Amino acid sequence: MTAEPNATPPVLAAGNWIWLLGPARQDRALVIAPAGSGLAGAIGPHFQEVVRLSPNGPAAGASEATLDFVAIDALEECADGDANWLPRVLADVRPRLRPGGCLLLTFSNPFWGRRLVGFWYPGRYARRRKVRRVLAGAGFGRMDAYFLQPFPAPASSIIPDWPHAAHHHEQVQHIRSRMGRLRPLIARLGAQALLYPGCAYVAYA
Amino acid sequence: MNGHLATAIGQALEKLGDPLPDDWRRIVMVKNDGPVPIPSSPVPGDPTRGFNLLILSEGGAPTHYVRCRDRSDPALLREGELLRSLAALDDFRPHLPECAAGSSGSVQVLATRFMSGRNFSHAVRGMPPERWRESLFQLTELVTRLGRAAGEGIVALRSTERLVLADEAAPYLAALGDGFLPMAGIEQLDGILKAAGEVHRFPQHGDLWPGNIMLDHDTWRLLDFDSFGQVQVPLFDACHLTMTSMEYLLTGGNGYPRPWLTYLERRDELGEGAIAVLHHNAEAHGFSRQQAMGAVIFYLVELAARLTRRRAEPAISGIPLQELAMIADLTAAGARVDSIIFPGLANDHA
Repeated sequence: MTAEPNATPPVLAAGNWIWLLGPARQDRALVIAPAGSGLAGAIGPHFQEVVRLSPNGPAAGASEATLDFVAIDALEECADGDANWLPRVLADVRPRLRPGGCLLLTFSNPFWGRRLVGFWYPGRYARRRKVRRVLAGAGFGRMDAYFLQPFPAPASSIIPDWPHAAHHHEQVQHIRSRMGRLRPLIARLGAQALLYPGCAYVAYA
Repeated sequence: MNGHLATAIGQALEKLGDPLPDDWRRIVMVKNDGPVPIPSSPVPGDPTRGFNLLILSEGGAPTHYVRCRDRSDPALLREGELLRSLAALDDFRPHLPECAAGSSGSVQVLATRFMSGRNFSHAVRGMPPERWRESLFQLTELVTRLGRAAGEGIVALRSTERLVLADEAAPYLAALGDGFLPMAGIEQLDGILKAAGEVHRFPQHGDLWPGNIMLDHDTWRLLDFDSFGQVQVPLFDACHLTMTSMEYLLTGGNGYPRPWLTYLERRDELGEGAIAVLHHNAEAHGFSRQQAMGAVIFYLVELAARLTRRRAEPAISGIPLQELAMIADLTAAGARVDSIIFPGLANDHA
């Protein structure tokens, strides 16, 4: 196993997603990610083959189900404001996932400090509910929602979308911020979506 | 969840006599700091840190904290064995985490039953100085008893060999000389360490900060024995606890508004408390003022080197670096920093 040049441990730790998700097989993976993403290199050790595609590159090709894992990293950078990008890509990759395979989709939390950018660039940041609808429309059944911190830097925390999970995450993480005291309370009140810069959906074929 | 990880966690929970989670989605990944498995090619920084999991019950209560590392990493195995040995000593069991190990494929885990009580990093915020000082006396007393028992009862930690502080700190000082502190400052710090001479070995917890301490009613519980015994310079735990808990008391872990040393210098209520705790612990080890000051410098140098090696945020690694720079500057200007921190200790070596 080799690391990408200059990849630091936190960057390589993005590959630890695979421990949480556990696709049924770990033979072939496809990563669609913007240029700066280290995800393809980080998950490399967990699969026999990882193919990386740029977001506006050619379609994935063959249509038979040969993939065990598909990752779309930083949706807003991949889609770059094109609302049809995600449905189009999912229509291409969903049939190629083997039964038991899974898809990881990460994106910026639209609630999290992006309102002004959203105003200047409407449609760049996808709402969680809309992403979920698009995934369901592509034929995914089980979907698990997570929050990520930090984002888009490699996540040091992956938190299920559940007030208890966010509350205890805040309790054990001792996050250094001026909001440090308030964060567990915000989570306990069920407003965990306000706390984290990144979101993820994991959808199973 | 990946089958190997589920198997490893299952082994550990079975040893603890606890049931397996019925839904692996109730798991929070925290401190995802390093890849498992570790790459075979060189990686800048510390690649061994793996990731940790917090397992929650169906009702949302935390049940276990699981540290996950590459199977080749000896530290986790060592920690599990150490905790078993410590739990067998004296009356420490109530103060120690209950843990068990498991492994499968390329992953090994150490699962700890979640401890009840309040984390000290939350409890200490805004705590009255008198109560903070009393807490630190109790905690340093506990780790001193633990260190003494470990040094006597655990063969791997038993040693009568003395430590030369300057030699012990040399690799860390060299690392800090690589762009983190000016060479003139390094020389000043080395001078303080050389003047301190030798000290006896005494196993330290090694990471005694408020986040690794729980208070359950009147019982202190300690967490994270990853570094236990790796540092054997007395006073290390007292320094780390004093400095970090004061930061959490003042700012909730958001750094110091001004250097730590200035609190000691001004001798306000917190400064007096810190001096009293450090003095008490230095005296318990029979230290002279120079030895105690040498131990403080060793602590700051080791911590700064560790944090910079891990590429910690500048806001964190900057804390010990700032103190070291200030001590070096004061020393260069002819001030006796040891008389600020340890005014009550004798000058001559004990």
